[in-house]
Parts: sequence; structure tokens; C-alpha cells
Amino acid sequence: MKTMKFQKSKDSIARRNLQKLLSNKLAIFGFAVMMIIMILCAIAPLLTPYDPTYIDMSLRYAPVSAEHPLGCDQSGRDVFARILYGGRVSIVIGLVSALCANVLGAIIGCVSGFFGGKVDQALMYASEIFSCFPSTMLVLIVMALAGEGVLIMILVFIFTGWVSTMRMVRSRILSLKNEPFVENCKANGISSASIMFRHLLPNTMGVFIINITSTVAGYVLSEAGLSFLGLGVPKGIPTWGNMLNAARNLSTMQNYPILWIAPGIVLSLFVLAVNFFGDGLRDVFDVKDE
Amino acid sequence: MTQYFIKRFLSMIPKLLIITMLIYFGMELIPIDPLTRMMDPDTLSSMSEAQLEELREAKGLNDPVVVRYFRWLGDLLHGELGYSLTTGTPISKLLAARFPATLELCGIAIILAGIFGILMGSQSARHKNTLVDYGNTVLGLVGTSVPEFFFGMCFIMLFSMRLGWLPSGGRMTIGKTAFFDRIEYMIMPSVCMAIGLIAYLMRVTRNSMLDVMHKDYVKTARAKGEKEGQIFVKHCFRNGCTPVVLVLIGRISMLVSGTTIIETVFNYPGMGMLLVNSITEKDLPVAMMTLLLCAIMVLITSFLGDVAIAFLDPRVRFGKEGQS
Amino acid sequence: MDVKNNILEIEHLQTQFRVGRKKVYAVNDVSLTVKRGHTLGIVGESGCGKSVTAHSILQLLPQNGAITGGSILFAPDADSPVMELQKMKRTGKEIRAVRGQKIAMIFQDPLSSLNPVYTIGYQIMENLKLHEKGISKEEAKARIIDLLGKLGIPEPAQRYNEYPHQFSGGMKQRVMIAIAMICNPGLLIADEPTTALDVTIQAQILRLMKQLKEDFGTSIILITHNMGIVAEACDEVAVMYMGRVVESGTKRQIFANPQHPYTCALLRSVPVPGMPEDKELDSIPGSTPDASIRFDHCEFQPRCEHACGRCMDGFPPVYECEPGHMVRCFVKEGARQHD
Repeated sequence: MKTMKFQKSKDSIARRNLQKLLSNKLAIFGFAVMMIIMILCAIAPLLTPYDPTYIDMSLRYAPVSAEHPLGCDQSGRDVFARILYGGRVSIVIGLVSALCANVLGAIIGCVSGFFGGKVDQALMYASEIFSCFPSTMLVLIVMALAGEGVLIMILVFIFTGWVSTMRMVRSRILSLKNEPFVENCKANGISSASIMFRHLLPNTMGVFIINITSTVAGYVLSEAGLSFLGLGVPKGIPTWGNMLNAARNLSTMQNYPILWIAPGIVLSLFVLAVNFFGDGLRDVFDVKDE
Repeated sequence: MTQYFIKRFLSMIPKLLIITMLIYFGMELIPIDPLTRMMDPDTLSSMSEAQLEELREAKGLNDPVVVRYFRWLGDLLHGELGYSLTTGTPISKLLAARFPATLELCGIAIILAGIFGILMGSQSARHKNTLVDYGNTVLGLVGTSVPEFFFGMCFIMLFSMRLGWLPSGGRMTIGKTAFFDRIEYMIMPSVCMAIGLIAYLMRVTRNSMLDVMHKDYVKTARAKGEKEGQIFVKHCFRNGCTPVVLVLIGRISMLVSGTTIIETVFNYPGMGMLLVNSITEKDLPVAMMTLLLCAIMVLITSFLGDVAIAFLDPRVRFGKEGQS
Repeated sequence: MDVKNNILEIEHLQTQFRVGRKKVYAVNDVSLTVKRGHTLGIVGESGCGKSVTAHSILQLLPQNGAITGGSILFAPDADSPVMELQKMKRTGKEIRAVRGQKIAMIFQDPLSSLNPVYTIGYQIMENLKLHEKGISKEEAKARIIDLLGKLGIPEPAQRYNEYPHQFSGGMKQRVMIAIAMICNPGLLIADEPTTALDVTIQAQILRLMKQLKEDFGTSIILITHNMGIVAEACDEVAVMYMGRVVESGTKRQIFANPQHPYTCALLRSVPVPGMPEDKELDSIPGSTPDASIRFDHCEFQPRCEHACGRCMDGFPPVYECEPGHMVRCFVKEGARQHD
């Protein structure tokens, strides 16, 4: 090496981040499992001929067989079909609520952090009050007042879920606001809306994406918890949580463990995969907790 | 320092007001006659329509909402929380029976989580990027991913049904009410509640310790000739604790949240189960009051957390922020 | 080793870091001598390995760094046995007995070098108690307060119980010096002690260190990138570039008769009082190369204005152009070659 190489790196940040992510085996594993479960749920009609809501009392608690790979439940519905179709509902609830709650949180956080002053104080105060209420309890009561249903559940999740994203985005914006490049923008006469959305918001992307993965996981778990209590998605709609609800009966729990262990494992596996992936993303974006 | 505490304490009052206000307006939204939740059902059923109307006037139910709110607030302060719609029991009585049960459970879960979370997190930080660290990380992710009630069900299956070591639910055996007799009922629920918290605390501890371990003052301590173990305890651990305590306090609300499901799984008569049952039975006043009590509990723990932080960090104590 | 005159001799020190799969050659060949009661200044641009050299002496390198060659000989007194610091284990008992007691170190940023959660009294006490086991609390406290007073901290008895955030930057650095000096070490290593401070405070701290040298007879290694500080505070100077000492000698030799093109360039880039107003300051073209690249010839060659064909052929040996004045450059080819 006689001559010095001052080669400018061709890799963009996005490419470097992607490479970093690809080198994280756990994240790749998580991503793969997550995608597999999502695809299997999406193509459910191709994988099973059964209707997840079709009740056939002659098949009550039917054992595992070639026709019914995971047996049938207390109403004679095919467990395998219910897991696949149930996954659709559970995952959609998780994804939609997470996306909407995070977008809402990011916008509020951005406004709060960027404008500061009274608006910021009021919003922070609101978020502090909000965080005093234990979330599951709040969701339960709001749903009791608002009624049952998948859509209502998603709305309640969004209504109660924006706080953490708002805080994270806000604190990120606050620290970014003092960076010289913002001064520079201001000095060049760029409007505050443009600074906020073009220059600051993209910088909070890391926090935002990671928060989405963790909230998807969180909402899938919340749905399962609420439906497990029998207070979430209406009983007629198959979801992972509704399937686990069957196990609230101690004798079912003991005698037909596959009814709750199977959906429990799929649910745990999905959430675990999302979290593995999210953890990999966290390393890439180098975001710390809190 | 006292000034700081007084300031913190006083800042709780407006929050309490807002929380009660929210709860009150939530109650107003419940589509039932407010008299039924305010009165003993026995006296109520013996009244005629005209008497009811009179009572309504006497109770001031036709007054403007602000007046009604403050009157309700006054009642709260006297411990009059209203009556359950389904059983007619005073709500204060219901809560008084359930509150200590949940407090015990949460307390044990916090202690467990604090000990294991911080120990495992510190261990991970000290042996960063070794097998121990990876193992802890994966365990932590499993801990946050598997729903706590699934753990609970598996535990019941294993320890109660198969092995018969622990009772599958309830709070105590009749006649044996001492704390140590009750402990066997609390082991499984509190462990289930602690698992998620352990995983979370572990991660925060690990990051916080790693952060601190690269601080210059650790190098200073090393340059003094201090032993590695001492450095870790005196400088890394002591300083790394502050964010961990902050996070722990922040998670209390989640923990209380979790009681709804865990207490239901283990049939443990605490506030979580009370809330779930009252919602199942559409007994919303009870649910609302439970929520209020839980919110107040969270608010008070966050005040206690502030006190703890002030003890841990002199910069907070002397009212000066920043500069690490 | 010349124990009578020298307190520390570093010979051909090599220190490497492992960053991912790459190796970073932070210190390649450093030989230094610290005379008893003298101040040695180590100068160079950032990234030249001066800080790593200092950390190597006390084995304070981060986990991914290690000394891979050379020797560090330390003789606390003229009649005590010579210690080979490079052989000691990083966290071992021997090196811990040296740290803080025989060799003390102060760091660049006093703001972050003090633990915010302990009083400064406690932090000084920590050092004292470690190395003087039997000392009573009252005696220790009295000694600390006395030292704080000597170091120019007003009302030391009261400030003893205060926390770092209640001190200003200059005062914090005085506290750091107190931590370092409380056990009366033979050698003080100051790693850019004034870089984070205001200019007026810088002068105070430098004066304080000069005074320490006179009062306690402490030898000092002063690491800096500022030629002005070297001129003010040092007796001997070593100029470092890319992990090598390129020139060393007494302050007079270096300033009056710089030999290495790098030293000349450094000196030209510093304003001197009485300089003609229209004269522009020189800057050194290019920047320090990546330390993970291993050179097989003089590292300064790509930026050197005197470079010729021979500079590409191999490393120049060290020449002694005057007694005690060493240069690592072919310009001095006529001079006597040093080992």
C-alpha cells in the first residue's frame, strides 16, 4: 500500500443500514418468521378447506387427525383453520392500530417539540395524565362505554396508544432542534413547516420505525389479552385471543391443552419474531430505551 | 431539598383534580340513572316515583355539572364512592377488600423484577457480547413476547395440575390468613407479572450500565487504582441505577394494567379481577372507581419515584438539571 | 535504565486496537524519557497516538486495545527497583498499586471526569483510602482540605461536602488535580488538561501545575496539541505523528532548531508574538491518514514538502543531531544514528 486511498464512500446510509441489518442473524430470523406467519394467514383458504366459524357439534373436541391437523374445539370448529383465519384479524388489528397510533403520536410529538411553549406544556401535561391510567383498564372501560367490535377496538387502541410515540418523537425533536443544521435552515429563511416536515421528521424515522415494531407486538398482545378476558373482539370472530379464551375453563385447560397451547405458541412466536426484528432495527438505528 | 419535595407533592394536586374530573365525566357517560349508583338499592326500591324525583332534587342531581362534580368530589373525600349496580354493596367496601391484595401482588412482582432485572442486566453489561449477554437478550425478548397469561396458564398446567405444588388460584386457604400462609397463592401470579418487567428492566439496566461504563469518571476511578468490582459497584451501578429506577416507576402503570389479566387467570381477588368482573357484568360505577383508585396509586408511586431519584442524584436534589 | 535521572523510560512501545475485524495501529514506535522533576510535553495532531501512549503507561486502555510490544520502565525513586509496567495485568494488583499512588493521571474533560453523585471530598478520599490503608478519617479529611486550599480552591472545608455540579470547570480541574496529587505521586500524567477550559483558566491551571512540580518535585507528562502550552510549561518535548515520535529534545532545541519537517510545519502554524502582520499562518496540507493502514515508509511523506524518492523506500532511522535531540527523518542523514 504505497499510495493513500482517499476514496469517497459510495454507500448511502440506507444501504449501510440494510447491510448492518442483514448481518444480524436474529433480526433476519425474526423477519423471516414474521413474514411466514403473515403469508400463511393471508393464504389461509389455500391451506385449509374449513370455515373457521362453521360449527359442527359432531366434531366437538375431535382429536388430532389427518383431516384436522390440530383437532377441533368445543364447538367442533377446526383449530388449524381458526389459527390461520384468527391470525388475520389479530395481525390486522396490531398493524393498523400501531401504524395509526404512531402516526398520531409522531405528529403530536413533532408539533409539541417543535413549537414548544404553551402548546408543548399542555400536550406534555395531557400525556402525563394519560400515563397515570393503567392502559388495559382504560381500554376495558372505554370499550365498555363504546361497545364491542374490531373497529372500535382499533380506535380505542389508537386513542390510548399515542402517548409513548409522542414522547419519544418530542424528545428527539427537542435534541435535534438545537443542532446547527436547523439554525442553518432558519438562517436561510426556510419556513418552519418545511423545517419540521422535511428536516426534522425524517430524522426521527429511526425512533418511529422501532416504535412501530414494538407497538405492533404490543397490540397483538393486547388484543389477545382482552379477548382472553372475553371483553375484546366479539366471540364470533376468530382471533388468537378468542381461541385462548376457551382455556378459561379449568377442565378444558387440563383436558384439551392443544386448544390453548397451539394458538398461544403461534401468538408468542409471532410476537417474538416481531420483537427480534425490532431489536435488530434498534441496533441499526442505535436508539436507546427511554 | 424539602422545597423540591413540596413542589413535587403540590404538583400532584392539579393532576388528581383532572383525573377525578375525567372519571366523573366518564361516569356521566354511563347510560344509567345516577341515583342507582349513589343510593343503597334497598332504600331505593322502596320509593315511589315522586319520592325519587324529590330525592333527585335533594341530592342536587338537577344542579349544573360543575356543582355536581365538586359535590361528588366531596363525597369521595368522605369515602362515599357509591354503590355497585349488581350487588348493591358500597364500592368503598369492595375496594377496601381488594386493594391490599393487589398491592401485595404488585409489591412482590416489583421486588422480584427489581432484583432479577437489575442483576441480569448488570451481568449482561459486564460481559457484553459474550454468550451470557446473548442468552440474557434472547431470554429477555422471550419474556416480553410471550403473553403473561400464557405463562400463567402453562404454570397452572405444570405446577398445579401436573405437579400439584401450588394452588391454581384464589388468595388464601380458609382459616390461614397470615402473610406466609398466603405466599403460595402469590408465587405464580407475581412471577407471571414480574417476567415482562424483568425482561424490560434487564434491557434498560444493560444499556444504562454500558453507557455509564464508558464515562470518564469510571476511568478516573480506575486511574485511582480502584478494584474492578468496586468500580462497578461504586461508580457504574450507583450511577446507572437512576434511569433504571425511572423506568421501573414508569412501568408501574403497566404492571397494574397487567393485574386485570393475571388476577383473572389465577382467580385472585384483587382490583384487576374486580374491574374485569364489573365490566363483564356491566357494573360500570365499580369499574370507574377501580380505575380511579389505580390511577391515584400510579400517581403516588410516581411521586415516590421522584423522591427516590432525588436521593440517588444530587443534581436533582439541588434543583439543577443537565451536566452529566 | 538510568534510574538516577529518569523516572520513566518508554522504549519502542506499540499499542494496537481491534475494531471489528480491522486492526488500528495507534502507537507504532514510541520511545520517551521522563526526567525526574521535569515536565515532558507530548505534542501532535489529534489521532497521533499521544493519548493512547499515556493510557498505555497505566494500562488504562479500553478492552479492545493492548500493548503489543516495547517496554515501559518506571522507577518511583532512585533506589527502588525498576517496574516493568507493560508486563502488568490490566486489572491486576501490581498496576493498581501504581495507579493513583505512584503515577496519577488527569483527563481532558473535568466536567465528565468527576462522578456527579458523590461529593468531591468523597472522591478524593477514595484515592487516599485505597493507598494509605491505616489513615484515620479525620486525618484524611484534614489532609484533603489542606490540599484543596493549596490548589487554590476557596473555602475548602465547605466545598469538601459539595457535589461536582456546584463547581466551575476550572475548579473541577483543580479537584481532579487534588485527586491525582493526594497520594503525592512521583509522576503525573496530564492528558490535555486544559483543552476543555477557557483560555484564562488554562493559564491558571498551567501555573498551578508548574507550582506543583516545584513544590512536590513531581515529574509531569503533559499531553497537548497546543504548541503554546508546550512553550509555556514544558522542559522537554516529544513530537508525535501517526503513532511515532518524530522528534524529541529539550524545549530550546525543538523551538530554536526544529529539524523534522512536521515539527517545522507545526511551529509555523502557531502565531508568534511580534510576527509581521501580513504574514499568513501556514497550515499542513492534507490530513492525518487512517490509522488502520500500515505504512512501510515514513508516514509523513504524503504531506511532506521535502519528500523525495528515498522517503518511499522505508522508515527513516532515528538520528541524534545534537546531544539529546532526536529526529526521525532522512534530512538529518549526516548525523549520528541512534539505536
